[in-house]
Amino acid sequence: MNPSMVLRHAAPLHADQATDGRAGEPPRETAPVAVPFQAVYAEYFRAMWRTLRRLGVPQAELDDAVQDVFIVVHRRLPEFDGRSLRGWLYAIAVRVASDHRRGATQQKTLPLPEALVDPAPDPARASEVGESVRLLHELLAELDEPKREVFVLGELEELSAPEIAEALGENLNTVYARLRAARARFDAAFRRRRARDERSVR
Amino acid sequence: MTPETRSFLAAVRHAEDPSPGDESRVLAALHGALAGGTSVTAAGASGAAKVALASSVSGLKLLTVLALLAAGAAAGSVFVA
Repeated sequence: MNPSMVLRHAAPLHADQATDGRAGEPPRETAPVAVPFQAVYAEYFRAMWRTLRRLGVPQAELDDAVQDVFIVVHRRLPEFDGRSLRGWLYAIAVRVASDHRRGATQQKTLPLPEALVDPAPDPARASEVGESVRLLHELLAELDEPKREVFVLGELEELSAPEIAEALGENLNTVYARLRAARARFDAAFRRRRARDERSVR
Repeated sequence: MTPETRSFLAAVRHAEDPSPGDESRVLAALHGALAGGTSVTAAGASGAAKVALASSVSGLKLLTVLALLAAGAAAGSVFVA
C-alpha cells in the first residue's frame, strides 16, 4: 500500500493553524466546523510525534503512541466543538503520553534517565539525534510531570497560555504560575549544565 | 530565561521532527488499524508496510479497532484507498 494514496491532499484547516502547530499565536475562536481527519493528520502529525517524545514516551513506543492519539482523534472528531483544535489535540497527546509513561514506569525497576535506558534503536537515527537533543531530554527529565507538560507545550510547542490551560484542563493562573516555575527550573538546570561542561573542558 | 537558554530551545525545537519515513510508517499502520481489521506493523523499514493479521495486534488495540469498525466510520473518516 502506498501511503501517499491513503490521504487526499489536505487543505489548511484555518489560515492561522496551517503551520504544523508551530505558530505562537492562539487560534481564532471559530464556530463548530467539520474538520476532515486527514487534514488534522497532515497538519499535526509532526507536532504530536515530537510532543509525545518530549513528554517522556520512550522512542520504542513512539509509533504506537502517535497511532493511539490519532485513533482517539478519529473517534472523537465529531464531538470537537471547533473552539481550539490545537488545545484539543494536545489534550489528547498529554493523556496518551501519561498512559505510556505509566506503562513504561511499571516495567522499569530503576528510574534511570531515559537517555541511558532508551537509546534510539536505529544507529542512523541515533546519529541524527545530537548532543543538544540528548541534553534537552536530560533537562526535561529534571522537571516534575506538571512542569514538564506546561514547559513542553509552552516553550517547545509554543502554545498560548489559554491553549495550555485547555490542553491540561487547568486554571489559567495555574498555568502561568507553573510555566514560570518550569522556566526557572529549566533555566537553572541548563546553566548548571553549561558551567559543569565548561569546568570539564578546562 | 536567559538568552542562551532561549537560543538553545530555538535550536532544538524542531530537531526531533519525524522523517517522511516515520510519517509514512505510522500512517500505514493507522490506516490498517482504522480501515481493515488488519494492522500494518509500525516496524516496517523505509515505509514498506508489513501487513500483520489482526490476531497479532495487542488485545486492547484490536478491541479499539473493532469498535471503530463497528461504528461504521461514524467519524466521517475520509481515508481513501
